[in-house]
Amino acid sequence: MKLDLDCKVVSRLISDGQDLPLPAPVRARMHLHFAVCETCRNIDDQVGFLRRAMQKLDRSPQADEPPIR
Amino acid sequence: MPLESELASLHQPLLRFAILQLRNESVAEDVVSETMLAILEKPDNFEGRSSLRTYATGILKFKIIDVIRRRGREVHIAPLDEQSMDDAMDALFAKDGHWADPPPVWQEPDKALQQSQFFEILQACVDRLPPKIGRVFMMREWLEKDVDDICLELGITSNNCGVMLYRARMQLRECLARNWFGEQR
Repeated sequence: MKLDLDCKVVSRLISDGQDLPLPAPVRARMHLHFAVCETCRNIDDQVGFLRRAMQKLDRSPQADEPPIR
Repeated sequence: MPLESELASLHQPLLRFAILQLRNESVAEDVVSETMLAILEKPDNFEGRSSLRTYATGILKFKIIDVIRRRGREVHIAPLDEQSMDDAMDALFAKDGHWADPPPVWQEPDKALQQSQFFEILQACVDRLPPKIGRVFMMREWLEKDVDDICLELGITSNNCGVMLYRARMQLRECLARNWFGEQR
């Protein structure tokens, strides 16, 4: 793997990291990329948020009949 | 509200979840009926510690997992064509691997978690996923199963599983961005 990862590779790593622990060297490179890329930091936050939201999906105040769009 | 009528009001939402997971309406109706029966047989087990919805959903999840486990490898999700998934993902990125149209930051996302309307949007976004991808995503995020178990049960490779979860997350991110966080494209 080359040292400077691009956003496409990083976005996949962000997703993979939700499912399995990433190997330490890969994780380090991902964080190196985060240091210089605000967009990928945002995506990382948003993917983490998605998980929190999914955990609350069936405990939401009233999600009984979501509108079919 | 008596337990029976409260359960009756939960029938539709529970059925929606079960159908989404099992992709089979009659099997879904069975697990929902079993869930409701289990609650009615032992109403004392539900002591109002949580909402009935949360309680019933917890039982339903276990019943869904049982069905999926019993089916084992019989239920075979045909692996998606990885090339076509890759193409869809490629559109998000420029040739140099940077974001083609960099998504902006979301303002105070956690406030959304207090709003029932947000969950309606989230549910609609999940419903809109292609069925196979939606199912893998729900097994992961809603049933909270390990990827390895999902791959094994569906007879797909871990890379294919990873690609499907990646695609689901990127699509849901985009869907929430457009429909809740007001990203203009």
